[in-house]
Parts: sequence; C-alpha cells; structure tokens
Amino acid sequence: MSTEEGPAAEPDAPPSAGRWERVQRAADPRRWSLALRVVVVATLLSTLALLAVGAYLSTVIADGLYEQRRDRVLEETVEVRDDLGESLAQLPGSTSTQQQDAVRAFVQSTGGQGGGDRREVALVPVETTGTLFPVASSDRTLFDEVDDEFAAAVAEQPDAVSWRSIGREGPDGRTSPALLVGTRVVVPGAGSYDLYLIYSLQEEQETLGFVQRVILGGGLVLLSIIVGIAIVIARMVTTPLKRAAHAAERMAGGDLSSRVEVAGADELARVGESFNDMARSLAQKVDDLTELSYVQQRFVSDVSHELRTPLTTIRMASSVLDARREDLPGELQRTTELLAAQVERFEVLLADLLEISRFDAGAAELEAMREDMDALVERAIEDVRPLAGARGCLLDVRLGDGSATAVVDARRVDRILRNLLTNAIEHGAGGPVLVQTASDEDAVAVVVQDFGHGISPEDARRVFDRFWRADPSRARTLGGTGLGLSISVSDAHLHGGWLQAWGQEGEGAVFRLTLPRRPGTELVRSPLRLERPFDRERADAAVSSTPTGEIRIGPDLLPVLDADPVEDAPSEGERR
Amino acid sequence: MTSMTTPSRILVVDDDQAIAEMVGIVLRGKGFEVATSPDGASALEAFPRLRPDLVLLDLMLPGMDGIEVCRRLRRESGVPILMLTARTDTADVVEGLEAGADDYLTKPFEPEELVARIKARVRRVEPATTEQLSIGDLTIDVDGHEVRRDGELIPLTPLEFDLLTQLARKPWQVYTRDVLLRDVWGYRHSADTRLVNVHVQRLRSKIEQDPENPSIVVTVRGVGYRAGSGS
Repeated sequence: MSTEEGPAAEPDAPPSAGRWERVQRAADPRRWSLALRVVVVATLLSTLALLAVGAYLSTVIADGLYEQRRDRVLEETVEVRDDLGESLAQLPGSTSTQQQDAVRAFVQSTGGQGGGDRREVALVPVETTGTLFPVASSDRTLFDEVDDEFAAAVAEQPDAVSWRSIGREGPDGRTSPALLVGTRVVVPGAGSYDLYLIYSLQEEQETLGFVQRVILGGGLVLLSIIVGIAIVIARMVTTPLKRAAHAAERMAGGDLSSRVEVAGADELARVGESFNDMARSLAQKVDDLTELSYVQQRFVSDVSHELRTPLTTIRMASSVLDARREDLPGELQRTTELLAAQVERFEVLLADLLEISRFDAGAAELEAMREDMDALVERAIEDVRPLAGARGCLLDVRLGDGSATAVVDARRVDRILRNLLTNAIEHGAGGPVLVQTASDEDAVAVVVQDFGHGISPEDARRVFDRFWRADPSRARTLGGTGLGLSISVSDAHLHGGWLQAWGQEGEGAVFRLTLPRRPGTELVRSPLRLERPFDRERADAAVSSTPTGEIRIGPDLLPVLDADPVEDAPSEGERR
Repeated sequence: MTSMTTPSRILVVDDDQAIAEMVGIVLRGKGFEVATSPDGASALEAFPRLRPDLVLLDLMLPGMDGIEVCRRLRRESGVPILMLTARTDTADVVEGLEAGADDYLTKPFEPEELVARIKARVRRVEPATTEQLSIGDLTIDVDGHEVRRDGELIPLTPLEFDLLTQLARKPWQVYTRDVLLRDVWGYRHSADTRLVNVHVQRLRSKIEQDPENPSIVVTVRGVGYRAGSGS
C-alpha cells in the first residue's frame, strides 16, 4: 500500500521539492510503505530476540564449560597434593639439597602433565626443617600470580583447595584466562608446602569462542530467514491491499467499473468484497442519479420543444394582429404590442432554456475554427452599437497588440461577448463601457468593464447562477432571461476557458473572458487583470465630449488601468 | 410549374390543428391557396389529387413520421418540400434533408420568414428563354427545366435544378455556401450550411458518373463549390 498522499492533503508541496526534503521525507517512518514498516519492525524485534537468546546461550555454555573444568582441576589438585605428600614422605631426614632436588623433580614432572592441558606447578615451602627455595615448573612469573591474599586464604584452610580465576599473560603477551589453585601440603617430618597450580583455560576459551561464533552465524541466518518471512507475509497482506488501493484510486479517478479481484474468504478477501460492494452500490447510485438527471434534462428539453408548437401559433397570431394594428382601437393596439413583445421574450427564454438543457445533458459541441478575437469583439460591438447609442453609452474599445487568433467557436464567443456588452450597457447607468483585449502565448482575453451600479465581490460569485439577480427589486429593462451569463459561462467552459466577474458596489463591474488559444489546453493565467480600479471621474472626463453611442478605438481614452498579466485562480467568481 | 396567375397551392401537413389553421390564415392572407392534412397517410393520399406547388411538412407526425412522408413524396415528385421542426439539435434535420426536403424552418418562426421561405421555393417563374447551358458532359435546358446527358433525361427536383444551373452559369466562379444559400434558397442572412452540403450530395448522386469522385460539382476545400470540367 502506498502512503503517498493525494494532492489535496499537501497542496503546498511544490512539484520539485529539494533533495534534502526528499531525504527527510524518506526518513520519516510515517511515510514508509506498510510492507517496509512490517519488515523493519520484524527485523528489529527479531534482532533483539536473537541477541537475548544468543547472550543467554553463550552465558550458560561458558558457565558450564568453566564449572566442568574447575571441578576436574580441583580433583587433579587433590591428586597432585596426595602424590606430593607421598613423595615427600619418602624422604625423612634427608638433606635440604636432597629435598630440594626431590621437590624440583616432582614439580618438573607434574608441570606439563594433566590430561593434555597446560599446567604450571609451583611449590613454596612454608615451614621446613631445611632451607628450601620455592620451585616453579615454568618461569618465575608464576609466583607473581600468587598474591598475599590468596596465600593467606591457602594458609587459612590448609586442608581445603582454594581456587581463583586469573588472567595469565602468555609468552606472546596475550592474556588468556586461567585457574589458579592453591593448597597446603603438610608432610609430617618434612614441613609444610604451599602447592600452587595454574591451569590454562585457553582451550575452554577457544571452545566458547567457537560456540559463540556458531551462535552468531546461526543468529544471522535465522535473522535473514525471518526478514525473508516478514517480506513474504508483508507482501501477502499488502498485495491485496495494494490492489484495493489501486482500484480505489481508479474509482476516485472516475472509473466506476473498477473492481478488486477477490480470492479466498479471509479478512483481505472481505476488504476486497466490501470494496466491490461499495463500488457496485456507488455505481448503482451514480447510474440512478445519472438516469434521474437524464430524465430531468430530457424533460426540460421535451417541455421546451413541446412549447414551441403552441408558441409558433401564438407568435403568428400576434404577428397577424400586429400587422393590422392600425385598424384596432388604441387599447387593443397597445395590447397587441405587449403581446408581441412578450411572445418574443418568451421565445428567447425558451431558447435559453433549451441551450441550458443542452449543456446539462453534455450535448453541447464545440465547432471551433481559427478566429481573430479582435474581429469577433469588433463585430459584437457593431451589433450592440444601436443599443449603446440609445443609452448614451460610450464604448471605449482598446484592442491589444499582437495577434489575437485563437481556435474558438465563433457563435459561442459572439454570444458571450454580446451578453457581456448588453449587460454592461444595461447596468452601466449611461456611463462608459470599457472593452479591452489582450493576448499572450497561451490565451486571449477580453475584459468588459462598466462604471454603473456595480456589484459586490460576493455577488460577483453568484452572477453566473441561473436566474440570479443582484437586486430583486431592480427592473430588468432589456428583457434578459436571467440565463444569459449562465449560458456564457458554460460556453467559456466548453472552450476550456474562464468567465469571471468582479466588482465594487456603486462603482462598477468587470467581466473577464479568458480563452485558451487552442481549446482544451489548460489555462493558468489571463493576459488581463480582473480586479482593477474603477476611476469613474477620469472615465467620465475621458468620454464627456461625446456622450453618444460613438465608438472610439484608441489607447488614450480611459486612464491606463493595470493590464499586467496576473495569475488568478479560475474559481474566482466563477461557477462550474 | 404553376404560373403565378393562379395562386400557388400549399399543402400543410401538421397534426397540431391550431398551427395548421394559423399557417392557413397567414398564407391565405398572402394570396396562397392552402390545404391541410393532419397526418402523413392522408397527405400522401391527397397529394396526387391536390397537386400542390409546395408541401409544408411537420417532422413529428403521428403514425408515419415526417421523414418517411418526405421520402415517399420525393419518390413520386420533385415538389418543393419545406420541413417544420421543433428540434434543430438532433439528427432530424439532416435526416429530413437527406430524405429530400428542400429547406426547413425551426419552430417558432415568424410568419414573414415562413412566407419568404415558401416564396423562395415557388417564385421561379422566369421569362421564357432559349438559354442552353452545359456543365461537364451535361446539357441544361433552362426553359424546359431539363438536364440531359447524351440526350438522356436526368430527373432533378426544382431545387437541384436551380443549384446546378447556378453553378453552370458561371463555371469559373467558386460559390461559397453562404452565396448559394442566398442565391438558391433565398436566405438573406446566413443560414444552416448543412442545407447546401446535403443537397450537393443529393445532386451529385444523380448527375455524377462516380459520386465518390465528383467531376461536375467540385468541392473547393475551405471555400465552397464550383462547376467542374466533367469526367
């Protein structure tokens, strides 16, 4: 299972995180995969367990070896003591030199014997009749090992055998463990001797070392086997989880047919089954909703179409009446006028409804061709010129430099532009309307700005809602259907573009259309600024000389507003 | 073709009685003679008897639908057929045109628009002429409304004949679809270019030796059509 978190969880992570951050991230166990964590934990715990077992075994074996050897050493010591006692007892009354020779001979013969073990023997006369010197089987360093404390212990218990572990420095300078044994030999008539023996434990030490190496080697083999088992088990668990995770990811990506292969009846199989059940019920729900939504769209579409036939009759009737208006009395004349106007409005509303239902059904298709945006803007302005003239509204058009060609659906773009222009003229309160275009490598943009009643930035988010009105009491003078901006925003989205609104209460409103040069390429920024100042006085001053519907095209009419390209989130005042 | 001295007769086929009656009122007001049929079967039955100059055909009819009616009418006559439809976004329109309708009107429409469309289809009363045109290996007898290849008559509907004549009159000129819509169909504003595409296909299927590789009505990519040199 991957612990990679989705982009939603870490929105700030830049795509190219530094190497150090990557290292840090890799070192954080919370980011490791489950399998890795299982293996690491298993390895650590097994190592600890093996170390404990190894240490225990090693200690027990060492103790056993030591005790066994010690017991044998003590037995031997008693034997040596008895031998010594016997051999010394055969020399009563002999001279000191004879005794000395006998002792030396005994020490020499005893040292170096002893079951193949290296044994050193020293004999120290304690109370003798003659003058005897201490004798050692090897060099005299033997005597250095016998300190006063040990000598005292031997003297204290003349019949017992005293022993002690020592480190004996060998001829090569290395210290090896050894056992120092001491006892007192009392020979009647020949005095007392302290007998010291040193038994080397080198062999036992080597055995222990070997055993420890075996334990270590076995431990390592066992550890690697355990790691292998952990990997296998982790995989056994995580592979189905991974499959489930992939299936969930595919489903999150929109593929509702994504399912997990389920084998067996264990917990993991249950995870898979539950997932599949969930996916099935989700797909079913989505299908139901899609069906419902489809039925609703179909209904809207059918209603709109069904209304068309009677509407045609009404419209023709109204036209026939309208054509004979002169023959009618005054009141009826006005009645037919109203009838004609409202029938027309009804028809526009119906057309808009149909268009909306087409978007909702996803049936809207882009008929994109290479077009010059500036030309489209100019054409739309020509179309609304009479309206602007009637309102005494000046259209200040400032086309951007450079080529503004883009692959767009001219009919839809024209509809958007006409909508924005009509809106601006309607809500501009007779003030000027600024139309600005600009382009960069990836996008073309048109801004339509008015200096009228304005909208608050909060309302700007809602202007694209169907049938939304900033002020419910405000009359709709141009007979808009309340669907125009909603259709426009859908038209923009169909191009992969943005239609955004912004404004200030009492100061004006700005609408910005940004379209990619090629439909479908993702927009990241707009060549024009959306949030911009409303300098009404300077705007008025710039146009006060011609308060008509005259169109002026030039760069100097309005104060230069910030036209720097800015990055804007597409969510700004926009609905999808 | 009926001369204008006698009023043109229009057969209105629509199951909606109100609209049929209203169309009748409007058209009679413009000097047309109007007959109505509520469904396809009765329209087909009345057709030979009435011999109308134009059929106004609703696409959505109970029983036999408008497209089938159109197909059957076309089988026995080249009478101009004007479809009425409430849906423009479905394949209905193209299907209707391919079934032989000359033109279509989307509901709701202006009475003026209806009258203009009808007049565009029945207006052709040209002064007598002995004009003979040729296009490719075809000869066109403008006055007799006849097109022949090697003396053999090729039956064309009036619309197809007009389309061919238009191209044949100025064989050097490339006609855009918009120009053809204006000159042949009588549209003053831009209209559905599918009209041109479908009728060029229908015309080619009748006059071309190999409709897949047309040599008489040639497509000029990205512009429109012009007369070809023939084979």
